[in-house]
Amino acid sequence: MNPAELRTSLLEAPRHYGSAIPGTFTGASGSVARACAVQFSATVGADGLRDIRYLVFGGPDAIAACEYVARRALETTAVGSAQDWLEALALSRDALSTLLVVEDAWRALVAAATP
Amino acid sequence: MFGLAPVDAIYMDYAATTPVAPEVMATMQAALADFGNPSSSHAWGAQADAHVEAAAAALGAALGVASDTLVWTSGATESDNLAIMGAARYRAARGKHVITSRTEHKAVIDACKQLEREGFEVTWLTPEADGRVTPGALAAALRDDTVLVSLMWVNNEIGTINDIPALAAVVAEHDALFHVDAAQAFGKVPVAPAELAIDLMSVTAHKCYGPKGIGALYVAPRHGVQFEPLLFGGGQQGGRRPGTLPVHQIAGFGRAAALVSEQLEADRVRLDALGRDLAARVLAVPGVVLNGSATERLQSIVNVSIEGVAGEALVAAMQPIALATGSACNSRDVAPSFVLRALGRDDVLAGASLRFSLGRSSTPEDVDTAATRFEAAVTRLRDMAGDLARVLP
Repeated sequence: MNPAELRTSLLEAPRHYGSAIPGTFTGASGSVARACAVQFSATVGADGLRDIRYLVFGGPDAIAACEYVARRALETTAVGSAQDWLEALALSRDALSTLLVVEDAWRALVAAATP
Repeated sequence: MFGLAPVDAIYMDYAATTPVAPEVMATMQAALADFGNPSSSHAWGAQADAHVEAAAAALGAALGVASDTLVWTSGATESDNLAIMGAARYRAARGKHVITSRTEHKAVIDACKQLEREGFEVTWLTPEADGRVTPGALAAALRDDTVLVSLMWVNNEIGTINDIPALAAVVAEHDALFHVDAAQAFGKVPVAPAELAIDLMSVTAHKCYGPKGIGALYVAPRHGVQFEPLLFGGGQQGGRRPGTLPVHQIAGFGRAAALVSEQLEADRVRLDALGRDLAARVLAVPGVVLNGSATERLQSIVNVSIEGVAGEALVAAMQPIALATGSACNSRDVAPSFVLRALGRDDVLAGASLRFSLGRSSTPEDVDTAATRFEAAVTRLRDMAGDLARVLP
């Protein structure tokens, strides 16, 4: 699947959006007033990451990136950075600031979940 | 998109541009075959000139004006620029004050900003919350040194219809010229500048099923209605707008104007009804508010703001239904619609706006599909955003 097809598939069938389950770790960034806000939440068990959820207010690039990050996190520990996602999803450089909000939210989640 | 059921593609962006009518295409093709320069005195030139004359007669008839009061331009942007900058510069010795509003098309706003850079003073009227400029506000802004007033007939974003007859009456009591941007009005509501005290009026072909790249400026045949040209090089159109005339474009505009004359009322009645149905369906979704006037509006334009969703995501979720949004939320620097901001919407609601605009090909089935999709898309995007508006305002 090429990057553009990947982006389309992520937008066509987002699977991981949803509110945080109480008691799970969360990380958030951005602002609705500034048109991009993201919150990740993670359920972690003794065997590692069990589930990822996100809430997103933003355009298609933000939504695609959140879904991509959630899937990557459940498949591999190497989620990458905003720059990586820009290339993986074939987004224009204009999207970088949006992806940085997503990355900030992800980093906040990782920080919250790290003992 | 976003897990929503697929729907067929529907065009609902007629306020941006309209498809070229088949009759217009046929007329343009015939005009292209007559390749002469309409300014030439030989037979080929006369053949081409006949297309221009016929088009001017058709557009003149649609506007209720004499054909020799029309100046061909490249579109409404040029017509607006020519009227505003040309007339203000011509009249600069009388005064350097111009009046317009904050919700005009960029072609008017940027022309007025250019005048400011040249030393003119511009009064920027703020319309009422429904988008209309009141005669009282205009009267209060007029001064002895006002040389030009420029206001739009129908707003391109929200469809609000200004009371142009009342506004024209106010300007007529002063020495200022009155320019009306009728780009969005022509073909949708009756516009008869000669019956009103309108001195200059901009129209364009591609908003009324004609080709892009051709417009016209109506210039009232009255003493004092004059302007400086923006272009130089040739005596075409009396030097007011020189350049070899694009015969096929003009012919196409003429045919589109003739269709306006034939179909305006029928189109208006049908599209008003469709627009009212669409508005009722869309506004029934909680947290959706109408932008613009509920009554004094081109009903075929339905512009709404939606709480709890980003406009850009909503446009994507509505695909393949073609719509417009006032937001540009691709970065942290949000650029919500300046029109909605001027009408008092906050950044979030101004950024989460959607404009449906209907046209000749729109059907009740299209409206039903769009309204159903809208409700589903808003629900899905609100699910995806959850309570972020509270957590990350």
